[in-house]
Amino acid sequence: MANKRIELEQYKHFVNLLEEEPNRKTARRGFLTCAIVMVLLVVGLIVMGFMSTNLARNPSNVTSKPQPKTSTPTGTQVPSGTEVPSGTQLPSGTQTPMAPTDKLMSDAGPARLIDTRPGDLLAQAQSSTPTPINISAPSTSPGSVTSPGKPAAKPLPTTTSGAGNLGNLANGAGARGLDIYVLVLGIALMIVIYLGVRRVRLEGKTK
Amino acid sequence: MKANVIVFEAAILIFFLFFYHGSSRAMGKSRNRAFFTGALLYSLAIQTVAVLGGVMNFYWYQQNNYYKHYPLGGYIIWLGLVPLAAGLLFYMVAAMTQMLSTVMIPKAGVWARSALAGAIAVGFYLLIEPIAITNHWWTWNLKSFYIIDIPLVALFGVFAAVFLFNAVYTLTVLEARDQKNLKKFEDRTAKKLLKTNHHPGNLNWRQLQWLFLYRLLMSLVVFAAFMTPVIVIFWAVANRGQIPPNW
Repeated sequence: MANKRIELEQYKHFVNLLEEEPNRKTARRGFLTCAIVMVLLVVGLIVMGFMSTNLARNPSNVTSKPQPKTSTPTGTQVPSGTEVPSGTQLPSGTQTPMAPTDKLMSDAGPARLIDTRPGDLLAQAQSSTPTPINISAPSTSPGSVTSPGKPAAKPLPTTTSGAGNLGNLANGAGARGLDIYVLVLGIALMIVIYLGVRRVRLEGKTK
Repeated sequence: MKANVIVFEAAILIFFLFFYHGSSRAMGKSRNRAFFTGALLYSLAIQTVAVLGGVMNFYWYQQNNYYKHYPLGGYIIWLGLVPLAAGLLFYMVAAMTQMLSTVMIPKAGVWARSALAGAIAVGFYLLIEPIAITNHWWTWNLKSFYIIDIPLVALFGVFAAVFLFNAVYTLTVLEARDQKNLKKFEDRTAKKLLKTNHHPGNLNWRQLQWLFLYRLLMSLVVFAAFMTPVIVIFWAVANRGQIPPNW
């Protein structure tokens, strides 16, 4: 008995840990809570998937660049997708005809207002306008030199094609591809969670 | 209404509160706390390395003019380079898959259960990823092989991370075993630091937590060793390049 007490004293933390083990009923309820939360999360993701279908239909949405926060001097409109060689000056009063937009670039296309005073360097505008990435062919930066005789190694595109592109899935099956994908996967996950819940409930009933 | 990053973050934070309450009851408070801390640190380490290595980023909204009226431009709570929501999501997925695998195949070995947990986690991320990348919750920027704009490296990574994390948790906290292969190494390192030579089953809770943390660090090395050839292989058969750095 004394030995047992000493042993318990020695391993009291371990014993406490055993005591901390929740009883099965509490554990079952906890598991059910977690399962319900995860099912709600899956449902939420399905809904968000439905809401995202319009965005996903644009094949280049995933790699679309964000519209920069920085603003340039007032007066001139320059499309954000346009690359202009550095050092070029805008003729005074020149306006590039682009629709003003306050939308996401992926929704509205590459259009943006940049105001410039006559005589301002367009390089300034370019510095706040990142190079476009919605391209299928590799872009060459202004001023870059390529040797005519040597065929340059073709770099990989920054957008995917075929099965690699989410836009193709979203546009497939009558433009319901992403909805179906999200729905099927969501239901599969809910079934997996349900299988776990059923096991736990059976355990609860048998004991 | 758009499924923008604010919706994602708010939803994750709310779901997390309820999930944590439930998992505390299911696992036990101390164990759940250890699981939560471990999962958060584990995912934070992996994702921070991924961000630093240019594999992924969470900054699309911060640069976007349209969202400038939101606080901080995107995610509100950050843990360094990674938003808290991403870590909480990993915790919820890892904990749920751990419980599911234990409930579904209770008599199977640790590795089989961990593999099942990893497979279910991949299912979760297959659902999350297309929505995340469409709404720019995060952006993959790795030269790799992509299917529906998800790099396969990411799915292998989720499997490996959840598999290793669950295996370490089960072997250290739930079943508290010594690993035959690692015993000598652990005796010379971790147990010297803990100033004990006891079997993990006889360690007190504080020591067990430190051992758990130590083993998680070791598993990160294993994770890196597993992921390196995966990244190289998919790099070689890549169908999408890196987005330019000035993006």
